[in-house]
Amino acid sequence: MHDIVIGGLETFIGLQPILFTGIGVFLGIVIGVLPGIGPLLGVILLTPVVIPFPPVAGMGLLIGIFVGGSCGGAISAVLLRIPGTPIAAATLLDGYPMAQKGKAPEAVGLSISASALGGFIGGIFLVLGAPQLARVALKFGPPEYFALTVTGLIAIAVVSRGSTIKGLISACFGLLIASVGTDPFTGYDRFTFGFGDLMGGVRLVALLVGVFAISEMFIQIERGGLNVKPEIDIKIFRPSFSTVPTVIKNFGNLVRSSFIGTFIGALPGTGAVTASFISYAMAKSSSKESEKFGTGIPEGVIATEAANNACAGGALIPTLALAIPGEPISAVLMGSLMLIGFLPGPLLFRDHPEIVGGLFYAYISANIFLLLMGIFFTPLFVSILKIRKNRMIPMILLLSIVGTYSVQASLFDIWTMWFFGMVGYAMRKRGFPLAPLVIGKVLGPILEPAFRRSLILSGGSFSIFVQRPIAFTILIFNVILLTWTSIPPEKIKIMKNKIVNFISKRGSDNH
Amino acid sequence: MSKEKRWNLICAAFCVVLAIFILYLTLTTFVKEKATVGGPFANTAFYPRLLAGAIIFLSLLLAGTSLMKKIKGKKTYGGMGDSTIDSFNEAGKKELSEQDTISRGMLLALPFILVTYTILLNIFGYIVVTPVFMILLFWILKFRNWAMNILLSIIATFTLYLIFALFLNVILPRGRFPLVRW
Repeated sequence: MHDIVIGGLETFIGLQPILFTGIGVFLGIVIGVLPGIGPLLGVILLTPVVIPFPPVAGMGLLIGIFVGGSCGGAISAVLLRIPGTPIAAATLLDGYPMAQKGKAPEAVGLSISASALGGFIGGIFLVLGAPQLARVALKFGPPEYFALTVTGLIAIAVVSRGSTIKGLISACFGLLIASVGTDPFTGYDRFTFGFGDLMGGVRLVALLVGVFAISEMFIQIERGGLNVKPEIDIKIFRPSFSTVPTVIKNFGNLVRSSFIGTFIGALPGTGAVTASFISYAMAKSSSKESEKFGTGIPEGVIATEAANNACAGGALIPTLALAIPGEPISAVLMGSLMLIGFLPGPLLFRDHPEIVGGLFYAYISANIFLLLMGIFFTPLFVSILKIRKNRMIPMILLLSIVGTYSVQASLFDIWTMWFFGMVGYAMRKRGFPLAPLVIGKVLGPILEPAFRRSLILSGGSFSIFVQRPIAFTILIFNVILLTWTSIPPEKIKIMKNKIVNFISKRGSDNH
Repeated sequence: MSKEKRWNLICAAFCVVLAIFILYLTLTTFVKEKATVGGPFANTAFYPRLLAGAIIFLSLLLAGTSLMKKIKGKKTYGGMGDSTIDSFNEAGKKELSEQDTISRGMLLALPFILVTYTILLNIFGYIVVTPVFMILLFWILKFRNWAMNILLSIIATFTLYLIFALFLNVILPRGRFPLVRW
């Protein structure tokens, strides 16, 4: 822990890492505000930019985008009733009514303050929890790693939109794409079809940009609304820092929501949307004025924003400690760290504690920047809401092309990007989720070696996965998870509603 | 048979064909290159075969469940896990005018325009081709203010040139017949 704290401080304290983190937060808020982009796309598009830089500076920029983007969507949710990202969907329940009552500056200020403080609390859990998890994971062998990576894939497939079967098919294709190139065990080329550019495998950036950015732009163009200007009936304003004491006065709500966000963020397959809705339900049931939720009260905004930003810290715990990304953005962050030359996991904590520490400082600083920049630059972010789609889409396409090309100065990567753009578009039209494909590609280089090494250890016998208790327990959990998904969605919805109603009723009975 | 069911069956069939093609490759080119010797763990072909087998199994399961279950007409987009599609264009749910949408033909032509840009990028270079591409793209997407269109195209081209070529030292495509020396 000492190496992480001191070493991290040495790598982070410097103009470049701090500046990059600040720039990342600023860009993240801008990206989060604009409906149709989201922090995921922002992290993907800027990954090629950070590769040449030192790891903590580069990752600081991407983490800044993650943190800023998780909050930015709240501004458009409050003002337009359109969450800039789905993460902010729960915020409009009380944020938009607050703005309608003429309290837009307060609503936006509360969103930013709660996000920053919630994210900060999530950062504390990250700093305390990740090293402990990594210490446990150092004892893991190939069978445990295989079981964990399977869990990551199944969890994402289960919770992605569309059917679970389609998610699993998507994940298998992701793993297959990861196997393209030179086999690390035997040196033979797989599925390269004579292309020298494929010997190193399908480039991750080209795949990410194609599957997410290009397909998203096509979907946006197809949907129309190219010249539609969002109607904002509110003067440009700047919120006040007085919302910070307001959030702190709601200390119980803040800490509870941050804990929920961190816990849910750390679970593979769940995300900030789930965390913010659960946090809202818990805040409502615990409140003395639960009947006022939904009419525009600060507690509602604080609960959702603290949870969804704390989720970012929680998601980084398994990503850094176990190399198991809990959701798509952390999968991309993990891929970016690998591109920079560092493999997440317990060995990163053992061999490069200064890098881990630097990332921790970057995350915590990002939340401080979020508070300062979020409040100070709100007038700019509000005016950005007026940008129309037909100005934005060509810019994003151009950035996608140049960014993808810049990784290896290779036109082949641009062709790869177009190919996966078409694949991504077709998948979305037919209900196949994209996240499992990407996570399969990111986890493939970990899963296959772990699987094959396990079989080497056992002399080719699959019983090794049963004989190792941790691996066996994790695999049993996977079976339970898959069985759970075979329950019809209508029955799950009824059960979920019963749980939420029970929590709400219990809360109103207490008061 | 509902449209959704039909498409599920088509997708399942496509995945099966693709997986069989992968199996075929592992049974032919891999064998030819002697990549299939050794036990399962040393065998280059084993892991892709396992995945292809899993895809075939899952695709058949998809086909089977589609045939057995009633599919509700609700369309779902396969999202990013956090898809932002549904959040856009919901404000007011306005009727979209001709100014706000592009025709189906133009949408189908877009991939060809992007491919053409990539080919010309290699021939004439980034600085020459990109502003023209951006002007065309803005025009297709109904941004018809020509002065602003041209200005934005040039600014975008040179901003990215500044960031990538000058700041990050990336050599952007110069083309085979560079019309501009830079």
